Amino acid sequence: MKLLFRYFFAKNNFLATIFLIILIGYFISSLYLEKTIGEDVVGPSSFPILVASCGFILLAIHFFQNLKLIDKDQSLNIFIVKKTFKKMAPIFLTIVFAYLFEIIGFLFSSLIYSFLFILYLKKSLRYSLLFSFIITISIFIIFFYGLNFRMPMGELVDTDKLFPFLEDIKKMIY
Amino acid sequence: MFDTIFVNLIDGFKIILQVKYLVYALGGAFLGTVVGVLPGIGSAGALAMMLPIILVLDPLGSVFMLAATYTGVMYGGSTASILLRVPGDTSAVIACLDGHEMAKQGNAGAALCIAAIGSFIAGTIAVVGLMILGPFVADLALKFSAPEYLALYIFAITAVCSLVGSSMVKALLAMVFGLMLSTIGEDFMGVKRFTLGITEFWDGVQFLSVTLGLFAISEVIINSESIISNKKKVVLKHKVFIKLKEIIYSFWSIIRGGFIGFIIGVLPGAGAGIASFVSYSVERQISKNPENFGKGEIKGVAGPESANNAASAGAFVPMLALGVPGSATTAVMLGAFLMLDIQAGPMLFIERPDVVWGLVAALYIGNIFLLILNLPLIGLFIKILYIPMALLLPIITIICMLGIYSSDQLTLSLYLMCIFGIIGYFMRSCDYPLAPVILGVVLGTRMEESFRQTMIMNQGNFFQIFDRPIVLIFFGLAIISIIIPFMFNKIKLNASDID
Repeated sequence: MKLLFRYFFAKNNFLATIFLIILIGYFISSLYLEKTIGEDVVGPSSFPILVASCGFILLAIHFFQNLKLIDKDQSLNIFIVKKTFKKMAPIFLTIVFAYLFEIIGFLFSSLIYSFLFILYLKKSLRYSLLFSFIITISIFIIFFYGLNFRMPMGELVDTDKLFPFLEDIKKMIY
Repeated sequence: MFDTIFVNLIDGFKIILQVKYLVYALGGAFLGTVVGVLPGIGSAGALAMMLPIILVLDPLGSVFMLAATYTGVMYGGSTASILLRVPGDTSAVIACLDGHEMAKQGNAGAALCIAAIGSFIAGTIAVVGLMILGPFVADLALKFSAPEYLALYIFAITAVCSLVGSSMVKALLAMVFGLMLSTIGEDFMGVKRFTLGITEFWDGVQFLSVTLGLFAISEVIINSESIISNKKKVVLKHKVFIKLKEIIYSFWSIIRGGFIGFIIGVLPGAGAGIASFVSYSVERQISKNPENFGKGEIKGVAGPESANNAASAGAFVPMLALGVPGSATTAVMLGAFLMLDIQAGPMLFIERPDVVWGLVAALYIGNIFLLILNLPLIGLFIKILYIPMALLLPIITIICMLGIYSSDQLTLSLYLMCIFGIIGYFMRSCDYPLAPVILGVVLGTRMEESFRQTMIMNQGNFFQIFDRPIVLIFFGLAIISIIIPFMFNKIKLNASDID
């Protein structure tokens, strides 16, 4: 059992194993879809079943090709995942940025995000503060005024009410 | 016949060579390039953004400006892909492979130059094709029905998967993943599938979230990892211009890309993305050094970049000759024509030759402006690579966020981008190629539609499609594209055994 576990979570098989689990779920769900609709002789389930079947065949080939790994003392990839987890700080920051995007609006969320990101990348506090401000303002001017983009102004902190002149300038331009 | 074409073309040039129209074309090419660099807008979005502007111009000026914008967007899209690995559109995805590798090796200037030169030459080939072959090719495209499209898509998939990455099985698994993503949401009969009860998924997974997540965000993670681990980054001095021998070396790739792009561009629904994928696989198939592809091979930029530009001109054939938009971009263009009270279709050639031939001339002029504008700007574009990574990484993420948010105003799409960023990071760590995922997402919906229509046409008998000659040709090509890399690998293994 431990051997099998080591095999399926060896570095070269790790993603394939995760994909296998997803594929099983996908295949089972596709069995519940309608088989035919009117003239459509194969129905909405046909293509997903076909895709899943191709996936199973390919995974079988992949696992067969990597059978040699079963004898080797492969380090469990779980540890690699743990190590990788630490490297994922930028993505967690990005998720927080996405969460705050509509809540506090582009200006504040972008300012916080770029400040924390630059700080995380081992830059000084002053440097981070200065450049996060420059980045946010430059992108805002280019997209909001230059390209007439719709940007989230915030629900919790309404940038529109806080800085009403921003929208007035846009009205003057367009 | 050629006399008439020539006379018409001269008339077209007489119209566009007026100063005000030249200014419109120049403005369009410039704006197109600038907007094309930004992810998330794409050629259709860029043309849509131009609609309020063109309303204040006269109809001919509007058409010329739109045509020049279109050529500009197609070139601009590749700039971000080459420099930052941020593809703004499907057609720019393939430029990430070798183009970005070239940039990493200090050859960003050569990559951008060859993209500009290739776009110019192939664009010119396609415009000549549009003039001469337009009506005939449009006729041929009408012969394509669901089985032919299905065969074309299968060929495109096998061709790409057999050539991208180190393992074909891994490439095909990545493609299956892309196809799975494409089945999320409503199918063409309105049946909702795999939506997990989330209404936002009814329209499917947003293409941009997948593309920018897989390519751009995974790149952000990898780069920030190297900054944190204090890996000394070699500061490269980038070449601004290309050597003549590099242009000569890539010349036939450009020509092939031009022809492939034009033919695929004419097929309604096929589009510039498929053209660039097919061109890339053809270049690698026939190359003497296929192992260099994906590692900064200039032909891997020249062919696809030429193909996507030629495809954009090819897409005008069904639009002008039949009034059928072959892509989202030509659909916007057709909408603009309607706004300007110009009726596209066979009668357009008789009733409004000024529009048709003026447009052809505008595409020529647009290509020339593109070259004049972009070659001197390459030095400026390259400066982006000298910005410290610590500043560039948050800028890339914020621009990606804005690009995605502007297209559907959904926070869910932003989360999806992050998830695909993580998936992309793991895929790259485990040596899975990313391009087949994108191909699966792009082709999945169309492939399913063609498959189900084929089954309806043949009353459930799939094998009846082999009665069609075009289908047989595509299936033959698909089999060849799988067999050839295997044979090459075997020959290489034998050779290394002998050594």
